[in-house]
Amino acid sequence: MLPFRRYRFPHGRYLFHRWVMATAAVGLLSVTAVSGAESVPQTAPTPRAEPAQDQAPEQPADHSNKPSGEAIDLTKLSLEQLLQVDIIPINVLGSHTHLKGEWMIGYRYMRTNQGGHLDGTRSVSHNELLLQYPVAHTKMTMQMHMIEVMYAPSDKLTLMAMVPYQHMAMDHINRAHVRYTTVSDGVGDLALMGLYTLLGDVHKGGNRLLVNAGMSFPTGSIKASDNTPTRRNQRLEYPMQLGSGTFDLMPGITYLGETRSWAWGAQTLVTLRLGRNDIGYRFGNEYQMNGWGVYKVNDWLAPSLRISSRGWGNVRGTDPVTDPNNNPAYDPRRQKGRRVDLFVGLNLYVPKGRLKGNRLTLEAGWPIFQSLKGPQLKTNQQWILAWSYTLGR
Amino acid sequence: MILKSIFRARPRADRARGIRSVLAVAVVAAGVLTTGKPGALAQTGSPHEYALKAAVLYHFAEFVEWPAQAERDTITVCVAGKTAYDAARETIGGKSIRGKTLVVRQFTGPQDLRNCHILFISAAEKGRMRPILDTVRNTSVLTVGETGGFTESGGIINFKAEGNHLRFDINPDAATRVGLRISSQLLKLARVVRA
Repeated sequence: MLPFRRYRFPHGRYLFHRWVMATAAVGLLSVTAVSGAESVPQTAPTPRAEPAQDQAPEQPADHSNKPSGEAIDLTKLSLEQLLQVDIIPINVLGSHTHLKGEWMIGYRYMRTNQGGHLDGTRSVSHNELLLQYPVAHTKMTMQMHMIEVMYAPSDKLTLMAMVPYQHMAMDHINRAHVRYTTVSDGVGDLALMGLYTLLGDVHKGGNRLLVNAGMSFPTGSIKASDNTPTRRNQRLEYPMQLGSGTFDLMPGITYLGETRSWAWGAQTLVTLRLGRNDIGYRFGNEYQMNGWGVYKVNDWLAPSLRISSRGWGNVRGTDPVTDPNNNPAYDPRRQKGRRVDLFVGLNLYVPKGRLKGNRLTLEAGWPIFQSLKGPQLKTNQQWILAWSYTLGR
Repeated sequence: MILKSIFRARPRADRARGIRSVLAVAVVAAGVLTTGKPGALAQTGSPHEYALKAAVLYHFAEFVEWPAQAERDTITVCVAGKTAYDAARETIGGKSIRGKTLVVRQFTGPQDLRNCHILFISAAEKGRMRPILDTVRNTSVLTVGETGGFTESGGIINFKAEGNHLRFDINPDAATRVGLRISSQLLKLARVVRA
């Protein structure tokens, strides 16, 4: 046994992550709330003179800055001003797709906390696990920083590119009651996706049906390793790998509905693994179904509710340098599972001013059902913080 | 090779999961296509967009002169299409322009043409666009549409979208043919087309 007395103590890095996230969230929230809450009209309406023939009417005061929720009298705007009003009242409800020529950049932070084990739906303690395996996991934290870029070459088609940077930490305990943590971090798999409006019109809003077509590229490592009490540079478990190692197809379909105050939708996405990776295995296929509803409280605030159902299969093949008898996360036949999560969220949007177009979404999610072919670590909580900015509006 | 890897024989559990995924997609699609009124996914405007267009129609009334025989105490805006009519009635109905009251009426057929100064044919009625334009061809009605080919078919003004903003094409020759005079100020804001 290697003289492994020092176990990785990543609290410093975790604290830095939390500090950055907290500061960014508070900062963005403050700016968004202050900008979005500006509502008092700056000037009183001025009477318009009857236009003489071939003369433009006297320009009325700008009434577009109305208190949130109060309808604007569009006839008070001049024709020139009307031609500058957004056809689609792009607002806190969002639209999922973009208009021709628009770019969107975004950043998403996701954190998943896992702890405790399930075998099917039955809880399993790590002491029970240690009767079967020399090592058991006690908890796992996954953090993902995702950069997203979207571009609409036409009103019907929006293209997306997403690349994640992941940091995963898994706490272990062995039969000697030595606790240690392994960490993997790095870039994950690049995903490219197209969203095509099959039915409906992004200009008109209302009901729309979109087709998703995407592909994931194996840019994430499948050889993530870390030191353990028994071995240096030990290949980490399947859930700790940063990528799939395979080219994956991601087809799907999305339905969107919208009224003035509500937006809702349903989406199903599938991940199909193509072939096996260089090591000789492939992860299980996945499906995901989402349904959501968003209510516009005012121009800058909209709470949301989302339910997400996920299923994923076992690993096919095996990593020959790993031992499936070490702990269940190394066993390719104990990877599959199903989970249903409920997310509550808050959407913030800057509707006007210099920061117009900035959107912030906070979501917290909890599983309402899990069944894991295990024993596997179960998910306890998820947090998502997403920011995006649309250029060209 | 890629197709082989997708469709090669798999254990029953995997096939079942794949079939469930496909069925889920089909269910979502079927649910969408069968819910709501027929034509729920037809390309008609949103209430906000029609309110915006109604406000623009209001301004059109400022910049267009009708022949003397068409002058009345009110300016009547006729709208073909329920959603557009509702939005126009709410946005500009009863408003005052050039000392006259704006009246909004729903256009359902030639019998509703009486006293119309402006006729807006929404996209919901694009199937009847040509017959309607034929009906008003020799009348002093400012015809406004939002469908491709509208000005080529004899319409005078056609709404279109440029990015997320409203724009319009004007066919001044069609206006002149029916005795309407369009202000140069309005023409400056439009794209002039000659059909």
